[in-house]
Amino acid sequence: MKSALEQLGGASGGSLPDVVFEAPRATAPRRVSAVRRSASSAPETPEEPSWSRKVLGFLSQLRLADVLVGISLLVLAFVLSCACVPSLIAPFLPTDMRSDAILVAPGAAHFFGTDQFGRDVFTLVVYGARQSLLIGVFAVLISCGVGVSIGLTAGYAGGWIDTILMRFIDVWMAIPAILLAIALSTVLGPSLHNTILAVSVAAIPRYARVLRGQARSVRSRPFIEASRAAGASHWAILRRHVLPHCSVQILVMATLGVGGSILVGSGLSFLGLGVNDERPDWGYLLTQGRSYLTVAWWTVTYPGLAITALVVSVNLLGDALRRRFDPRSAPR
Amino acid sequence: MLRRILERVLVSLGVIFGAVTLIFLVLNWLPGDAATLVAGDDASAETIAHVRAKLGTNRSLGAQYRSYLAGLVHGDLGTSYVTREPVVSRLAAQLPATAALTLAACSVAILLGVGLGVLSALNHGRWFDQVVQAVSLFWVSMPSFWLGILMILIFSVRLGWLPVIGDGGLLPSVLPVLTLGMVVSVPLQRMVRDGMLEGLHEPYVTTLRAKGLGERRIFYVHVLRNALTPTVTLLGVLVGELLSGAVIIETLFARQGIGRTTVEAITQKDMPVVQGAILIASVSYVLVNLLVDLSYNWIDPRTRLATSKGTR
Amino acid sequence: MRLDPRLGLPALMLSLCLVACGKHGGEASASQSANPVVVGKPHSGGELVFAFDGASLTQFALDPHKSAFAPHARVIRSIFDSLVVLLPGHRIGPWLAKSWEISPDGLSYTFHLRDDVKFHDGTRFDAVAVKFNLDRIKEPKNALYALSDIGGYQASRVVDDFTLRVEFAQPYAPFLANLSKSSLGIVSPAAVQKYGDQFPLHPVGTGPFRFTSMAPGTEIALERNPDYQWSPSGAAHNGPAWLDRLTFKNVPEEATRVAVLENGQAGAVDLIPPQNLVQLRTSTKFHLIERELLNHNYSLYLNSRREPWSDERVRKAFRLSLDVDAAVKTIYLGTARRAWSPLSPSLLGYDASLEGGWKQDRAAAKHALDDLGWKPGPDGIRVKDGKRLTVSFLDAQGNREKRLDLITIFRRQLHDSGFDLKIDSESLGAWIEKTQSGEFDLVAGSLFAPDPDVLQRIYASGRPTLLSIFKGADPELNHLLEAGSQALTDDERVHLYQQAQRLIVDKTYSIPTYVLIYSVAAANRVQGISVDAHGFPVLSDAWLQ
Repeated sequence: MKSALEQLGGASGGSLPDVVFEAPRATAPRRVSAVRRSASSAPETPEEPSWSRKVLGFLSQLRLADVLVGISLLVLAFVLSCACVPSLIAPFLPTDMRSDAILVAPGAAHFFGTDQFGRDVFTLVVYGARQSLLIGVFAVLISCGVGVSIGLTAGYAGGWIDTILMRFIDVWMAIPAILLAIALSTVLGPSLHNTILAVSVAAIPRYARVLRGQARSVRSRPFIEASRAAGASHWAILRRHVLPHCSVQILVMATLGVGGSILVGSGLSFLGLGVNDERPDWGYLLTQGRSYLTVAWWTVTYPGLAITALVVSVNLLGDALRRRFDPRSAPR
Repeated sequence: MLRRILERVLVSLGVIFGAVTLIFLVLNWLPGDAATLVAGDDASAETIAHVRAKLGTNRSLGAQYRSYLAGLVHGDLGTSYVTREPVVSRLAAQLPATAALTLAACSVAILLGVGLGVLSALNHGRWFDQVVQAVSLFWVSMPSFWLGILMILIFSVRLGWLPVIGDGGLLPSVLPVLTLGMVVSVPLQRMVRDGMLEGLHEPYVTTLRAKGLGERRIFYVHVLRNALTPTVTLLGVLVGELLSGAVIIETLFARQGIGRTTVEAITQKDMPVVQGAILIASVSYVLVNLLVDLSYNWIDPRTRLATSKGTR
Repeated sequence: MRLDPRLGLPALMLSLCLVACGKHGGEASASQSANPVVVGKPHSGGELVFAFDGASLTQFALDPHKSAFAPHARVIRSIFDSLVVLLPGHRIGPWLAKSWEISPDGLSYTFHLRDDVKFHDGTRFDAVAVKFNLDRIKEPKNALYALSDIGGYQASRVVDDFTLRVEFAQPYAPFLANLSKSSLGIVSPAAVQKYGDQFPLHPVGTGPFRFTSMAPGTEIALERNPDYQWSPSGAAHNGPAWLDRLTFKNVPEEATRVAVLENGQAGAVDLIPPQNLVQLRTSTKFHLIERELLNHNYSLYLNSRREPWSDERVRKAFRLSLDVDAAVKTIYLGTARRAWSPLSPSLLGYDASLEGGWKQDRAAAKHALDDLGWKPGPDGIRVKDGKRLTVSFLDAQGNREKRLDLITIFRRQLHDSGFDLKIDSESLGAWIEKTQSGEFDLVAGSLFAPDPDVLQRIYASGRPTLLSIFKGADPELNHLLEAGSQALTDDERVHLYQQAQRLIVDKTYSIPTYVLIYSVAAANRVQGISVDAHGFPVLSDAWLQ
């Protein structure tokens, strides 16, 4: 019996088969293999297959990539529901401190154990989803918004505007992102929105750079010139032609950026710039639990797993989006 | 060619100058006053004023900036507000540790990234490739300090194979270097793998095959070279990531280094130290990217051709 | 991941009970743990690696006069000696000063110094050197933290090579006790002149160990001072330290610090976190040395210059909402005692009658707040004239010694009475700025000191210093504290300070939380480590088996 991975991903013989983490640029072979697979996986016998065979057949037709995207979506949906209605999912309140249940190991009463306050770690993880998602999503919205504007303007306008903006971005990139984020959150003081701001400022240059390249390539296309000639304003062209052309790229980068922002946010928490809230975010939980590492591994393990699960899902989704819409886009 | 290099150098200097100026402005916005911090518990207002004058923080922003730049031109980075130590010697004491950490991590990242990337491309679609892709997805999705904490727990505390702390030396550096290198290797690995897979289907490969070149030679010489160009570009961008990672790794493993020093200086508003550190970071960023630019010529013969023809 | 929890709940609960039963109400004297320790004959040789909690600071300031930071003072103690030594029971013993006389008016001290002492740089220790030290501290331009330890010091007169008369403008009773602090350790005048601003990086004293090198932020390497023949009275042995080398490693992460002890990278580590302390108490491989730090206990200060905390009734309601016992027990797992007075129990003048003086009474707190017009809002937080009852807690030290964890529990307890406590974690710079300007509702802090005069530094009004985090002004308290610092007999001082403590607790000027027990855990091969009367480690008697 072949391993499941082999069966699902690598069943198409000689040529390069399709895999989960498809190379974004290797588009030609994939299409070929997809065609081949559908041909080869047709039932060999003409008679009606049994029910179990049907299921097996369906399963074998599922690509591992799809399965993983499905799992990612499930994880995301779960995290999202944790963020929206934590009280329906969590068995306790994050503010419940039970002095008779301090540092209890994971078990029937507490799946993820309890922390040094006697709080249920599973509950904390569920309630922490909101803060962590907020950091991830809003940091991306801000950094993406600003970065895209700078990038599009620079790429589309070209000339001295481009030079000035891009030099500015160069300067920005020359300062290590985390130091910039630390300096900003020290200036602004600790709070969720300041963390979001600090994380997003550090991420802006990345978007600006990629989008500038995209805008430049779009600008040189003939239809832009045609629109210009037809009397369209720059703003209209940017909005109607350039932006839509880059939208897939933006979508992919933004999706992948959510994971990155969550990681940077948790790094800030680790460095002591986190927000101590009644409902701590995952980064803060992880940071708080680390002194109990040798006596209560669960306080540090589960929040870390939660971050990892969310970021893996978001990254898988980003990869899938990239493959689906824009096989030739530049990888991260 | 010479003109291009000169141009690049000028632009680089501009970037460094810009970075120092930008951080100067941000830092001035930081809350607190270094003089109060330094002056001591029972310091009178007079003492604080005296310390302020000694530090030069009683002057206007413009004056402070001008004197900082004037010092910079003469290679003087100022004196730490808190320790009264020249910034040059303070940072010089910390630089080797950070340089060693980041260089070692960078080497690990390149070895892992290029090695795994090539092997994945060769084994494209087989279990090896899939495992590498899956594992690297996890590496890049974990908070690096969490990865470090788990490695300490497993390799130092439970198994006792590696020391937990220590500066320099081979053994104590294994975990920090691995933690940092693993995370940075992932984008490289993906870039190499994707670049090679793409390269394999370029028309010139077919031409080379037709010419009767061995598969091995085609793969390792031509295709790999093709994949290296974007990888090297990426490496330039990753310098910032390495330095950012070093901040966290140094804190986690209680190592000395510029990253930790800078974080502390930020909280104490020890501006000369932060500015010195940013200067080092921006210089290394600019230098690496300059090297990256120059290396294109060497890596990709097509670029060399294009440059010599003046079409680039 | 299959990680085996080394410590399940039953074990933890059991040791909790043991601790609670064993430590009930005892005078906080040094307690060696009951672990079996193999004792042999001390001999010299070897290197001890001592991992200490030095916070994540990357600079070591090893100038005794310049550092107010306890972790650095722990290192400084091994490099610098003091004129006198503090002995248990508030007694002062000779060290670099063989004897001394105090004039009847308390204004002048005559010290007779040892004549056989040399600094590490070979220069002679004498009356001129001591005068240099005191004058250095007094000079405001030097901006030294030790300034607050010499009170109204005026001048020193060199009587002869080894006799010094120290004069004060007004009596300063804490002087001898302060002299025993590491912050008044004697530095080499020649080295200060040689290194100037850089002296903290090149410390030169007369101590049992001399400085060899440091790696900024991570390591301080010392070696034995072979000439050392001037151990303080009460020391386990007189003469050079047993250890060849003593290396301090800064390991701020709690879990890492315990890990380096367990895997043998360090022979001894300090400030063991409670969760590991309960575990180490039963260990046969390690032994523990624990002693109360002479301290102004970690206390909460409501900003009484700000509404509504200026009203004593609101402060009382705040305190009545707290269950300090439960919080301390939860966070410190029974390893620390709950504090009743601002002063730690072993300090001169500690008022034991304050113990058990008040307890949590949520109903009374709610009642008082209702009466004052603070009515519960829709989310349970009280509101008056549209203003919510928020308490912004200003913090800059993070979770050192689990202090933020303590506040986190208080936040929950306060919430039940309708207070909304917000934790505002700022950089040190911002913290100082805000405490100076009074832009906070609540701050907390501790201050180690060998004398009850520490109260004056915090509560005396009219001295706007970094330490005046207490923003109130009480003429009666001012008077008591000033009289306490000038009274000539211990009896008189005890009487004054007990009044002061009661006043502070009665008026809820501050809320003491826990008594810090300084702890060192050492592998059994490391013997002879002790903790002095201040609560600082003594490593000159340590030896390796």
